[in-house]
Amino acid sequence: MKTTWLLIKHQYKEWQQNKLIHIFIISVVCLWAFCLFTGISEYHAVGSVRESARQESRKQWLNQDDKHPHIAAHFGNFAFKPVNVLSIFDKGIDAYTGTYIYLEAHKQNDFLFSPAQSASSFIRFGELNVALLLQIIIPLFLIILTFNTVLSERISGTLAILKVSGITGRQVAQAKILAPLILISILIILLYSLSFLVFLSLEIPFTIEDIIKSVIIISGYVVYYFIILSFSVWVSAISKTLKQSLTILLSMWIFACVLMPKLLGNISSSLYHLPSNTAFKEGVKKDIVNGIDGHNTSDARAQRFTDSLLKKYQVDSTSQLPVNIEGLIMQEGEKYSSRVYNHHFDSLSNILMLQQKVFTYAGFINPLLSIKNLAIGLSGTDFFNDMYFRKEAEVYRMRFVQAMNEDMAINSKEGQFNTYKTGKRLYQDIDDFRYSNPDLSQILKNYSLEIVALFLLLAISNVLVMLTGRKI
Amino acid sequence: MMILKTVFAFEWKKTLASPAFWMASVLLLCISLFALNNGRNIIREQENNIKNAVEKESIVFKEIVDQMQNPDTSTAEKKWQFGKFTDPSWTLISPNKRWTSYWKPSPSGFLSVGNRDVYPYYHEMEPFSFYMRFFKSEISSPFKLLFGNFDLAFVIVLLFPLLIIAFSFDSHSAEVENGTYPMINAVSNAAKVVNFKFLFYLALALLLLNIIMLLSIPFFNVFAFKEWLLFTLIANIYILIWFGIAYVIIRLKKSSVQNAIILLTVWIFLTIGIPAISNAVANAKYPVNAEIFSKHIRRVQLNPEPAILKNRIAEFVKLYPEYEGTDTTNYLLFGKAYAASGELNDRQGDKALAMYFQQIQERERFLTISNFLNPVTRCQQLLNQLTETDLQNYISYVRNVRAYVQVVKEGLLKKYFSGQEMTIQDFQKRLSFDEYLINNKN
Repeated sequence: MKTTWLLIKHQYKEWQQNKLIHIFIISVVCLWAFCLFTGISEYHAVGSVRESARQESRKQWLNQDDKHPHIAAHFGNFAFKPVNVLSIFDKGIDAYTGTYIYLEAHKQNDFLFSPAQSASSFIRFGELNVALLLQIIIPLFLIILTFNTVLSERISGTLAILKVSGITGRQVAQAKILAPLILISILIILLYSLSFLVFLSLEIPFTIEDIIKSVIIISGYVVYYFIILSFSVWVSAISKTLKQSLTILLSMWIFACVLMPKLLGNISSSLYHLPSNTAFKEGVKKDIVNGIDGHNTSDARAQRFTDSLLKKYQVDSTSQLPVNIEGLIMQEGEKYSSRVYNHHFDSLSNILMLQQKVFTYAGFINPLLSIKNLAIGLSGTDFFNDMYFRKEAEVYRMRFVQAMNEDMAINSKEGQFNTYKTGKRLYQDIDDFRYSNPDLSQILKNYSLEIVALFLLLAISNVLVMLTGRKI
Repeated sequence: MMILKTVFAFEWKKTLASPAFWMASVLLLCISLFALNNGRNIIREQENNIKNAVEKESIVFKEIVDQMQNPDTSTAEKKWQFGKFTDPSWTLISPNKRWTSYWKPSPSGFLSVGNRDVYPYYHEMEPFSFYMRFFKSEISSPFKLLFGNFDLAFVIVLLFPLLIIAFSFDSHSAEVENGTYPMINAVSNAAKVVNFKFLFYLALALLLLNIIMLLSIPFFNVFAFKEWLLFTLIANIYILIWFGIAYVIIRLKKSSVQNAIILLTVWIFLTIGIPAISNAVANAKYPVNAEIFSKHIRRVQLNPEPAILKNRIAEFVKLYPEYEGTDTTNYLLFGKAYAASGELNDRQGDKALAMYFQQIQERERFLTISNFLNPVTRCQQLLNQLTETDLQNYISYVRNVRAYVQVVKEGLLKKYFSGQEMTIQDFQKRLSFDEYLINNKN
């Protein structure tokens, strides 16, 4: 290990005179600063727009006229997706998922206005953020830095001198990998730390969990870069010419970073087909009317429910009930429609999960996909977070609509739909919608296969280091 | 001319003997066929969804017409049911009818899908209020949206430049590095030979591109010759631009490795760097406020106080003075005030829509200016414009839907506020979105 350290130190001394390494470091720092500046600006802009819309919506809810609770339930509420602080680094799929949803009685509305809907196809070229820098640009820098690393030593004859001095090929290979790895790791740890200091100074709220998530993301990137460097140094060791080494590595970069993700995105959606919006809604509507099993119509369900209530309270007619049957029927209807919706939503989520799995499994050959999934998961900008948000919104919709229906059932009598009114007291009882991200253990569970893939590729990379050592 | 022929013949033989060339060509061909098929599938799926939505519209209205033609008035409830069909307010307000509008894909849409998969491309509208029901999201894979469509435009805009780089990066340097440059100079003009060699690879790239363009013809449902020709022309010019870039870099006479790194840096800068930087700046500098619509999406509700209802009708009558003195006795007061509220909500929403479009256009202007000299984004923009899959085309679709819903609504408001009843003919000969577009064109 001592020899390896000496070789690493020697490499750093050599780099002190190397213009390329200085350009590399300055570029990364400048690009990071740019990404941080635009990321924070966008975070503030989007956050304030959503926050003021949320406050406006809340004000409208609280200040609505006195009215029948069911009509108030139809007036509805909004659920706005909060902006995660870690989205400053990685926006994941947030540009392609909705930003808010209108919640009202009887209906599960669409999640509206993904940012991409207000953009042209420019958006498909991507946006420069820290994730793009870490996932696409830095690997390219690393390739350019290492494609000639063993070859030039061989061409200049220094490799032979090293071998004569008793240094093994494996030690050379380790040094060639660890030197840039340590450099880039220190650089991104510093940049991440400085970013959090900037957050502190700008009073951007973040939690200890956000820091822990960032530490895991950084560790993931270190593993990712180790894999790339091992492969790069191996190619450099087996190539006959610099041109050959560069061509192989750049082709791999293009395939892994540009071609493969796009190809998989298109293949996965062809393999696991999603229904259209109309077909989805028709399915929900049909199952609400006819029952999930197709033999339990809404009228029959209401009749059975009424009969059971009459039996329970031992009365002959609904007007003799101590509660308003209309409110209870609405509660039951809402429960059933939510059950149906969740059933269809789960089927939809399953299809999306199968599509996600294509990327997960592909991560076993392309580490970019594993680190990308893991990073967006931890940044709260992934598909799972979107799914949890929608589910939470549906839970909230059910809760406030049922509270309205309960008020109707308890405080009004049958046939008082046009005369009974509720007011501010009840409106205030309904809390505003608040969403919090899933906890760290849940995220890690969602991405356990990605973590396994990264560790497996790390192990393979170690084998590659040994093979490289033999080739040197 | 002689040298040109010799260089072309030599390079042709060399290329044909190269397994790398065959591999690259077959791969490119397979990728292009996949892209064409994928693009066609995306458009076909959208066409099917539009067709289903239109069919559903027909079914809904056919049921109404059937019930009006064969009325069952045997019970009080059935009589009431029949009565509502003739009431224009029921057609206006009841949420069970759908006037379907759609953003029809152009025949060449599959060549460059653009943002067609991001924008909602069909809508089932209710005339009561455009803004209450217009906004929706089509169910789509977020992964596919994130990584983008694999269509022919992607192959041409992003992958072809890589092929050009592979063809040309060592056209000069290889001769120098192999020691053949002075040998050629001894018998001829080496610089000229290198230029002809470069020309040969340009011809080869254009040949491959045009073969792919010819292969795209069977993928058309209805062959649109003009669009295809323009698409081909734009693609050819784009290839020429990339060869121009490569030529300038190769003229710097650097080594093969340096050429490869410089050319790839240019490719990354143009395909990822500039667009990604300008997107980041645009998002930070020109945020678009779609949350503004939340006020107009929320269900329109009315306080049943007569004074408030009358006030609402008075506001409406200011916009439509022809309905001054409309009958507002009994239940008509609430019904008409409610119908008026839908219209007033839309008028307010129009202001929000205008602001929203203005914000989008400002951002687009910035992106267009910042990418003005970038051939990659310019080419993608032109291809999307040509195949009608771009933002401007979508905006004009939204404007058309808004105008269409207004025409349908005003027709129903006229009946309601003038005390007329709906007839079977009104449902049978209702204005479809297609008819509206044709009338509007004329």
